[in-house]
Order: sequence, then structure tokens, then C-alpha cells
Amino acid sequence: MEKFVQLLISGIATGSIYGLIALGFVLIYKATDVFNFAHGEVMMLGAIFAVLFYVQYGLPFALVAVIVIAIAALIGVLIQLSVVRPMLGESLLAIVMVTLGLSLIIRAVSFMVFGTGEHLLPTPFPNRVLIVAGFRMSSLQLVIIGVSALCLLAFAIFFTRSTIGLQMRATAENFEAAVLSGVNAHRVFTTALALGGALAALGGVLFGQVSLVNVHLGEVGLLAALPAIVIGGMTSIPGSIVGGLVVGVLQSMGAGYIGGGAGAASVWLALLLVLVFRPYGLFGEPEITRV
Amino acid sequence: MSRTRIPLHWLVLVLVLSLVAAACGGDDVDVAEPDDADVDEPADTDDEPADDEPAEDEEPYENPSEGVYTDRIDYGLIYDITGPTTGTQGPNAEGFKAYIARVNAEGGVNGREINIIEEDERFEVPAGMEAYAKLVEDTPVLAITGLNNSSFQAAALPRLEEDGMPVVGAQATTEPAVNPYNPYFFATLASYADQADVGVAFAIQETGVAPEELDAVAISINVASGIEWGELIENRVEHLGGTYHGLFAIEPGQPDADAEAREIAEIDPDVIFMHGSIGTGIAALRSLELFGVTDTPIFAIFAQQVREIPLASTELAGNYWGLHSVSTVDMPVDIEVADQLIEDAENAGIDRDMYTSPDFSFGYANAIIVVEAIERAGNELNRETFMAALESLDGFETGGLFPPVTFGPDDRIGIESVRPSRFNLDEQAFIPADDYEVFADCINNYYITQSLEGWGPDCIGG
Repeated sequence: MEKFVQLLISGIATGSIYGLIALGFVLIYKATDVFNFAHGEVMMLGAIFAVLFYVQYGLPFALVAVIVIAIAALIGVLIQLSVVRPMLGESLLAIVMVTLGLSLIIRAVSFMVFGTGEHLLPTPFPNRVLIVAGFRMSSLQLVIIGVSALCLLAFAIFFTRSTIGLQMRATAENFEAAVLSGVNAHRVFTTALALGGALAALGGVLFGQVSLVNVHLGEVGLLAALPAIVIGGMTSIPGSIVGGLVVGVLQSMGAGYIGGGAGAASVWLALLLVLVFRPYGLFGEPEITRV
Repeated sequence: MSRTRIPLHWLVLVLVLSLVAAACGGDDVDVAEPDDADVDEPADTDDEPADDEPAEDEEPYENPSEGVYTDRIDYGLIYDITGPTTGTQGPNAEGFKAYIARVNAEGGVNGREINIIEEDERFEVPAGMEAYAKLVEDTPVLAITGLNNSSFQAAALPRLEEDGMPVVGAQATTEPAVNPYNPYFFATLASYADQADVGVAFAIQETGVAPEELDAVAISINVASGIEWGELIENRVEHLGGTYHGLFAIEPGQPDADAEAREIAEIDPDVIFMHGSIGTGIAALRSLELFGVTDTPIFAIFAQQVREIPLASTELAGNYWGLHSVSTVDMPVDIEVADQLIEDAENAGIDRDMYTSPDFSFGYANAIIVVEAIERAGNELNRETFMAALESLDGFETGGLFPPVTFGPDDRIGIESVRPSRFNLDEQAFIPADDYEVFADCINNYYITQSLEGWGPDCIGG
């Protein structure tokens, strides 16, 4: 029991970060129907810029977080204007290929600009070992869980209470009806891409607290977020969060109870099972096409 | 606006599997080995390139099929430029290039400038083999420095003899590279077996535990070389009658090692032997600290930039040892070429974090060796004379970066010295436990002998 709880704590901490990244991905997809493969690279840029501003320029961490999120949101806007908007109406495959290409371009440019080095993003948060009811956790893990939860709560309020949030939901539910009702689709798309980018960057900053930062971080993030999205459901906001937590916990449990590469294998096995038995994810809804 | 939909879940499955396949492309991680430092006696570095031009009546020699021209030498550098191990292979390459830049600025060697042709192996065997083929067929080079990825190295080794291509200074010395004997592979890095020989022997001395009572575990990255590391430790611990509790493998990119650290805490070993990358090392140290494993000495064989260790775990930092054969310029030891290395690095725009890394020193020292061999080969430079020149290196000093380098007609392992160095949090540097000679008798050449007969903790003493 002790082992299970201990592994659960570790899994939830890591899964919180995956959930943030997955949430941004699903938000973009739900609002725009765009499967944005460049999402991982936006996460990477968030982490890289955090290292640049916090480590190299010595700016206060809170300011760094604001700057990084703003930059990522701007990148999201640029993606909307340069890629998503011109591709509206094209096939899903075409959009996927474009975003794949965009991710490769971002990574290549990042190599040229930031180089190949690996960097540690020091944490401004206290990092002490806490023992609660006999279970060990680091204060950093608690901070990560707390920050992720706060972001999710803020996002939930935004999505359900704000005008643009309601418009985003309307657009996702029925695009044509929303447009006919006067919703500015492009503004919705822009907001979705900006928010999605911001969430990815925040995930990158948090991930940088526990792992090395380099230009390959986007692959790591995408490989964690994709199973989370599929398991949770491509069109479900809560599902993306649950999916992220499931991925984190499965990684932890697999490594803890089986060992070796079982952590990663557990995740992919779960993904395959979901695709076979519930292809729309745990919280997704089947698509119904009316003829 | 109409939207065309295709079965999304199948598309996702195909794309996800493609990404997984791409991510699994590199199957081994070899990271540059750490630092080693300090030579007590002044180094006798022949790093000044000779300005020997061909004699006036001597025909300028060239051999374009081997990259040798009257005014330049084409030399190959294969390393991971865009893949997952750029963090260690990149600084190694930069160190190599920094020294070559100095040599070229001073007029080259024997009237020829060294033109480095770089190829990207991307930490993938197919890409590495393609890069190698280019340097043999498309732009032939005199020799190559690279083959740092152990899987790529194993794949390329048979080609070296076919192509007559010497390789100098790889960031890994795998067993296939030295057994069977390969006359074209000049190793300047102690093998994992050598490091295990010294590490286990010294761990017994350091912990004061009787050999038959030693409890040991190994942590590694979950790749072939990591598994090999675990097996080497297991062989030695059990040879002495101790208990080996197994290998804890961490996946590349795994953000924490809590599951592994929890189990290690339950075992409470006397010593931990670690292999991996900077990322896995940091994950392991943090998790070990979380689970209270802070008093157990850790012997690590991979490069770990100095500043990463205290940031990973200040509690563990003082118990962290490296098993190294290369020194870095920020070590409190005598390195004759330190000022020169720093100057060359700064001229190349290299920051302190990089030029104080063991990888950078490793590349720089290998460049010194290569230039010396080119110089000794003289005007009639080709692969054969280059290799003969390498064979003539006997106790060659690289300004304190390496222990003395010795090759020979039947000896392609230039460095057979390893020493433990303990991390000092105040100095922010590794401090060697003793001179290389003290640990020399511990090295068993296991890859060749395949035997531990005669090896034991009594080997320390010199």
C-alpha cells in the first residue's frame, strides 16, 4: 500500500504537467479542428525562453513566467495567422502535414539560435523533502501539482464564464451555427491558439523544473501529451487533464512494479487498449455523421 | 464551411506509432566520460605544430583519395549535431575544432591546414553509416574522429578495415572495438570495464566494507551500454563475494526516478554505481535525495557538468564520485594547456559552461593527439603514415588533460588509466583521489582477457 501511494504521488506530479500540455492541445483541436503537431515545440520554446531569461539574464522568475507565457501566446497567434487560417477547409491530413512541417522548422531554427546545449532550469520554489503520514514528497512536486491545478481552475472559469470562452465552446459544438449566430470564428481560433500556446509554455516551464531543457524537449512533451489526449478523449477538456494524470501514474506504476522500460510500455499499452475498445477516449464522445 | 473528416482515431494511432518509432531510433547512449584531472608533473606537450615545409627539392606530396593535398588535409568529424546527445557530443566536437583552429591560425601542420569536414550521425545508426560513407567515398578524409554512439560504432567497425580508415578519439570504447583487435580504431577513452575495475576496488576501500559484505546496486539509462555497465559491476561484486542487488534502469527522458529510488532506499546499499546521461543522472540524484539515500557514495562514469550536481542535490553532491580519464580546466590541478584552451574556446565564442566540461577537454586533447600524429607523419602524409605516427606515441602528454597516451604496433588502447574524483561542493569541482598510477594495477583489460583472475581491491596502491 505504501509503495502504491508513493508511486501515485510521483505519477500525479508528473501527470499534472502532461495534463497542462494535453489541455492546450485539446483546446486548439476542439476549437479549430487543427491537430497541431507544433504544440510540443511551443512547450520547448517556453522552457528554453525561461532558461534564457531566468538563468542568462537573471530576471525574477515571476516576470519570466509572464514573459514566457506572453511569447508563447504570440507564437500561437502567429501559427493561427500563418498556418491555420490559410488552411481552413483543407483536409485534416493536409493540416497535420503542415503543422508537422512547422514543428520541424521551429526545431531547426531553435537549434540554430539556441544551440545544442542542455540546461537546467533552477527552481525558485523551495525543494525540501516532506514526510506526510509516512509518505515522502518533495515540496517541488506539491508546487507543480498546485500550479497545474490553479491553471486548470482558472481555465475552467474562463471557459465557462467568459464571453470568449462561451464562444469557443459554441464554435466547438457547432461551428456553422456559431458563425451564423454572430461569433467571430477567427477571433475564437486566435484565442484558442494563444491560450493553447500559453498552456504549452507553462507546461514547459514546469517540466524544466524536473528535467533538462534542450531543443528536443518538444518531442518529449508531445510523446507524453498524445497518449494523454487519446486516452482522455480528443474532444474532451476534462479528459485531457485526466489523460495526463493517467499517463503520469501509469509511467510511475509501470516503472515501480515492473521496472525497466515498463513505464513507457504501460502508457502505450493503455493507449492501444483505449483505441481498440473506446476509440474516442474515456471522456470523448463518438462522432455522429448524419446523412 | 465544410470539413472533411477521416477516421480520426486510426490517424492518431498511425501518427503516434510513427512518433514512437522515430523516438526509438537511437538505441544507446554513450556520453563522454568525465573529467579527470591533474598531472602533478609539468606536462611535456608537443602541441606546437611544427612549421616543417617540404624540403625545396622534395616534390609536394598529395593523396586526394585519402584527403591529403599540398595545402590542406581533409579530416572527418562525425558526431551528433541534431540528435538527443548533442549535449555531450557537441562540446566534444567544439573542443576538437577549437584546437584545430589554433593550429590553422599558426600556419597548419607541415604547411597544410586541417580542413574539418563535419557529418551528423543524429544518434542513429543509419545516419551514422551514411555520414561515414560520405567521408570515405564522397569527400575522402585522412582519418575520422567520432563513432561516439556505441551502436553506430559497432556497426562501423567492420568497415574500418575494409576502407583502411583510422578512427581516433571516439567518446566510447566498446568491447567490439578492442576485441577482436581492430588496427584502425585508436581508443583514447578507458572502457567501461576499466572504469568498473577501478570503481569497485576503490568503493571497497572508500566504504571500508569487507568485499564479501559489500551491497551494491547499479543505476543506468535503459540502453545496451547501461545493461553492460550493470553486468560489469555484477561480475566484480560477485567475484569478491559481495551482493549485487540489480540494475535500476531509467528511461531516457524520464522526469524522475522515484520508483527506482524508493526500491534502492529499501535495499540501503553500501555503494551505487551509475551510468547514463546528464538528464537521467539529475533525475536519479533528486529522487535518491527524496527517499533519503544521501549517505551512500555514488560512483558515476558519465559526464556531468559541474554546476548540474549541486543543483540536482546538494545533499548528495559530496558523496558523488566520478571515474574519469580526462581533466577539466576548472579543476584545482595543474593543467599546462589551461590558459591556451580557454583562449581558444573564447576565440570560438564558447562559453565557460561548455569549455569547462569534460567533453570539451576530451575533444581538445584528442585534437592535440591528431595534430601530433600528422606532424610526425611528415610530408608524405597518408593513412598508413598517420597510423604509424600514432603508433609512435609513447607516454605522449596532452598538457595535463589526459594521462600519458601510449599506442603501439599491436596496441590501440592509448589510455588505460582511470581514477576516482570526488565532487567538492565548495570548490564546485572534482578533486582526484590520487594519481593515475595508484589505480593502474586495478585495470584488468577485461574486454581482451574476459577474466577477473588476479583482480581485487588490493590492486590499489600503485
